[in-house]
Order: sequence, then structure tokens, then C-alpha cells
Amino acid sequence: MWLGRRRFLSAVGALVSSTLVERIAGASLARGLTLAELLRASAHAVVATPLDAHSEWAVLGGQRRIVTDIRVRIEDTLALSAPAQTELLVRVLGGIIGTLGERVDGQATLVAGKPSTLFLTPVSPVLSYVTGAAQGHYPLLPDASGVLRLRPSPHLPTLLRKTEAAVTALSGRTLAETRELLGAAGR
Amino acid sequence: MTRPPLAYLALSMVLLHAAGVGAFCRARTCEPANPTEDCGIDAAGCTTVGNPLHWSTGCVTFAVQEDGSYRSGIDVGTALDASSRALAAWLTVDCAGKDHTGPRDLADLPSLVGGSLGPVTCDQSRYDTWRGNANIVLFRDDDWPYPGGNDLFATTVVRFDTASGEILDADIEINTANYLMAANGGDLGVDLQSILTHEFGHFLGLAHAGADTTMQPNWDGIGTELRSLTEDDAAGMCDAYPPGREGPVECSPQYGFSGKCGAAPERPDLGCALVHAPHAPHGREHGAGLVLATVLAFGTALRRTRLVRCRRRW
Repeated sequence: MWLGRRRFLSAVGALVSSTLVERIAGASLARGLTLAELLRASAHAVVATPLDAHSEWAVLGGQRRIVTDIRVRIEDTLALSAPAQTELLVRVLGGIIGTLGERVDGQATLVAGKPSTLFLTPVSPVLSYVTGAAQGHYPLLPDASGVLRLRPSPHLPTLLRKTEAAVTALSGRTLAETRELLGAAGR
Repeated sequence: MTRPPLAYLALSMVLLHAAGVGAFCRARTCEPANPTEDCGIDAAGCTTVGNPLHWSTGCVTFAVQEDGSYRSGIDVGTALDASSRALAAWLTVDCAGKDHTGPRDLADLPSLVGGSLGPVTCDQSRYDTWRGNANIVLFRDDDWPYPGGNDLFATTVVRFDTASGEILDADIEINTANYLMAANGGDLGVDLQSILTHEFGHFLGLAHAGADTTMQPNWDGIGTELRSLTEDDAAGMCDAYPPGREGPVECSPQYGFSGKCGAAPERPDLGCALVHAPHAPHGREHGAGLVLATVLAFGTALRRTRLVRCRRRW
């Protein structure tokens, strides 16, 4: 017995949906930041390209932790103030030192040479964290016509209030659309 | 008889995608924090380069920081109970995919046992070589020490050997500085056991998956439904710890157990409180005082439990 076309497409759709829904079930849990909250918590909203990185020990909350400092080149400022330097260090939790690795899920996962939109929380003039970890990181990937669009960070946590979250508002947007949205949200 | 080959080819591709690409991700030794590492992230968002992270000792233990959370009104006993239930959810998945309402066959359980070592004084996430360690669940009531990360309800740090992927230590930090947690899933806070269930997935070596999709659950933060694992969670657990795996069972943390930060190994009061023993351990030793405890929510499954004695390292 063969499936009718409509029934077949429904079955495929349901299967894809269930597969995708279930796929994230093991993720960490975070409160979804709205666009306004993401902007309020950030000092810079920029397009940046990672250049290189190194991991080192840092003391966070009295604990020794491995962090990875990523040198990025600022390509453009989309909202908020422009960084004073053309290059910044962006710190993410986790990394490898010698034979010891530390892994912290839910972090922004930047790729060398590939531009991203980043919302940054500075802790010094040259060192920033990504605001909301993966929630403040949007890789820029070309669509079918070659236009760069914001995509969700690969290791985004499961979000509380996702429909209201910045990741929902920004995903799929072009840089021009993003600039408009951020301008409106910041007013 | 006519066939619609294109349609069935498409259906086959979807099925292969579901089964082959995998609806879960294993964390691997390739560290995605470093942008110069090509970790081969696939279409599902999974890292494909490096060895999968795993506990190789056949047994995993945790402890809870003794202060619990005064801000959320959660004492250490309540936190131990929620943590035990959360870990047990993973250790008692049915790898044969049978009806979960019935008793589970021991041979179908993951080849990992585990449980609680009780309360500890150490209030830091840390890993010491040549000192005692503990895998600690701790509450951050006063300060969440990760700039830009206040939105996270919790975070899990997994420390591993970069060559083998063996997990050496893991700690779960709960962000009670920014969020109220509730032990009963009520509307006065986020359900602690739900948070812990997900964090224990990372603790066991599973990673986020499928974040490039927008099909995430519409979770409102209320209720207890996230305590339950999905079939994909179970598949990830069974992939990491397949039933029937033979090997020694070692319950002590690396370099022995210590409930104090950076201290020499000590003898825990409680011993190992094991959830189950799906495979026969080699080299059983007789550790006095070791306790086989039941985990409250899984009494049916645990009736089939076999006794495991932990070999001590001190």
C-alpha cells in the first residue's frame, strides 16, 4: 500500500518536526533574553571576525578555570557604542591546556575567519564576554542568493520564553534588518 | 503496481537523517571554544572530530555542597534527593526501547552505575591532581561568577583527558543568585530537578544538539515535565554507555574522594550509594560501609539491582 501524496508529506513533516523537537532535549536551560535585554546588558553590538585564540587559566569567582581568549577584528558596529580598538579579546569558558580539557556547554562557538554578529559585555577595555553566552552570538551565513543572514549559535541552550527571545527576532535577518531592529529596540 | 520512488527516496532520506545524523550529540575532545579548531560540526550541530567524552570507570558519583541554597530555601537533603533522581533518570533509561511503564531488564540498562557521596564542604568547582576530588553540585546564592551569563539557570563544567576523552571530573553550578529554584516544581521557582536532569546530561558527556533549528520546546519554566527524558536523550545515553560493556567498576573520583577543597583523599561517611549495576564488575573488593541505596523514583527498576562494591583508591 502506497501513501497518498498529502499523507506522505504530512508523515514526513511530522517526522521531521518530532526529530527536531526531540533533538534539543538534552540542552542546558536558560532564560531567553529579549532584544531589549540583550542590548541593555551589552556595551557593543558588532560584526567581528575571529583571528586567533589561546587558552589559559583564569580565576572566576575564586575558582581556577580554563578560558579561551579569542582575538577578533571588529568589522562593523550595528548598535550601541563602537569599541575603542579595532581588535578585541572575546573570552569564552572552556578550552584545553596540555592534556586537560574543560568543556562548558552553551558557550558561543566562534570559527576563525568566519564573521559573526556579537553582543559584548566588556570587563576591561580590551576584554569582553559574549552577552548571554550563545544568546549573544549569531554566525553570519550566506543565503541562496549570497546575502549574509544571522543564524542562531550552534550550541544555543533551550530557552525559557523563546518566542519573545532575541534569537527568534534576529535569526534569518540580514545585517541591514538587524541594524533597524536593534535601533528600534534600543529606543 | 506503480511506485512513487521519489517519495520513498525522500522518506528514506528523512529516516536516515533521523537515525544516522543522530538526534543527540556526544561531547568530544575537540574543544569548540577554540575557533581555530575545526571540530567538524555537522548539520545537527554535533561536533564530529575527536573522541567522545565518557566516564570510563563504570561508576560515577556526585556530592552536594552542604549549604544548599538559602535563597531558594533548599537544604542539602532536598538537593541530594533532587540530584539523585536526576542522575537516576539517565542511569535507568531502557536501551532496548521497551515500554517504560513496566519493570526494566537489567541487561537493557546503560553500563554505568552511580549515586551520591553525600554532602561536602567544598564550595568550588575545581579539579586537583594528586589531591582528592569530588563531582559537586553547588548553589551560587551570592554571585554568579560568569560575566554575561546571568541568563543561564545552571552550568556544568566537564574536565576531560584530551587524548582519550575520559571524563576526569564534572561539577554542576546552579544559578540561585539570579533565579529562585523550587524543589517541587511549583510556581514559586524553576523546578530544580528539571534543571539537574538536563545538567546531568552534560555531566555524563552529552552535548547540545540541533541548535540551528528553531524547533525548541515552548518551555515556560513552570512544572516538572522536563524531568522526563526523551527517546533521543535515552539513545544518547545508551550510545555512550551501551549495555553489556565489561570492565572494572571504580566509584572514587580521580585521585580519591575529598569533600574539602584541595585536600588529601578522605574516607566518605556514606560510601557509594549506587543506582544499579548493569554489568558484572571485575575485581570486586569488599569496601566496608558501602551502601547500596535505592533512588526513590525508580524503585521498580531497582528491585533488579545487583550489588556492586566500589574499589577504593585511598
